[in-house]
Amino acid sequence: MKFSLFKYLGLGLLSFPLGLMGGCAHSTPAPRVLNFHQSWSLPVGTEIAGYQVSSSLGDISLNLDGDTVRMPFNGTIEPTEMDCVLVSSDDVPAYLFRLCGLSRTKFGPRQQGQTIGRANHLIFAMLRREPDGTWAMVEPSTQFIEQLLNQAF
Amino acid sequence: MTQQLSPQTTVRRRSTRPASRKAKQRPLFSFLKADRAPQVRTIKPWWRSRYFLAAGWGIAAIGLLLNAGSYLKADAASAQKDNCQKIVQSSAVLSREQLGKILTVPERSNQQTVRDIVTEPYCQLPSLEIRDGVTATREAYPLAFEPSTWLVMLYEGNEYAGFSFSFQ
Repeated sequence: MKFSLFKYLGLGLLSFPLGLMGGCAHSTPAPRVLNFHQSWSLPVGTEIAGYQVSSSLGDISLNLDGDTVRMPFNGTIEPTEMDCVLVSSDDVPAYLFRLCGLSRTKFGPRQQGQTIGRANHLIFAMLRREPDGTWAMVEPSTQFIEQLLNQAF
Repeated sequence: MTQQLSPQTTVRRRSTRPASRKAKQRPLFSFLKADRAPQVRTIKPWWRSRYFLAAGWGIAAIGLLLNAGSYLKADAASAQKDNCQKIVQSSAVLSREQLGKILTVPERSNQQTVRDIVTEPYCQLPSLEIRDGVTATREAYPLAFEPSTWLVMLYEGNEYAGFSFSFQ
């Protein structure tokens, strides 16, 4: 009868991580590393005087004050270096979207309009694929950013 | 004979009575439980109760259901056909040979280079303005040997910008 102590405690507590594992197993893929077409000396993540560059040349920063950022298309959210995410879509070839400053992000496939995360200051970069496989920063359209913030499109 | 029998019967009664009393004192359904000292049951802590265990499994089941829900949502993505805005050539499919040729076309080539390989796509997807001031058009082709997979080509003006495979 002494074993029942461990049995009940064990089974009761084991069931919590079991549920958690189901959620975490597919949500932590390896960060995707990109080769950029433009080579700047101060890209995002560079350390200056003990601080990290959070926004670099070519990034657009929006003060969202904690609002949600949504999927512009059906696509996939991947992690990248720094605390940024990459959003890609099979329906929109040749483009990648890098979003920094988001909290509560989850990785994996998402449908259009589903939440990517929340941000106080969203730092956004649009990347276009070059013939040599590198990614060039380009200027996004207002329409596209509106769709990201789920305004009328 | 009668005097001899009576003491025997009294002895029997005495021996059987205490046994029957014992059986009456036993709690109902006692046979279901193994012999336990009453102390073990009374000082059972809350985290050893079966309710705690049941709650644990309940939470685990809810967690798994929620996870399964997110998978199902992702799986329920609409078919590529439904994304089409305008069907150009409903019989258009890409053979292995054509697919191979299309993938060798470098980005920034003229749209005509792709048209030379396959004259018409299955359909056009809605055009988008992704990059500022440039309208992107998209064309989709189902693969002849894998009809659930589509090749999506993106053009900006007459310039081919890139491709992707869309899996349904």
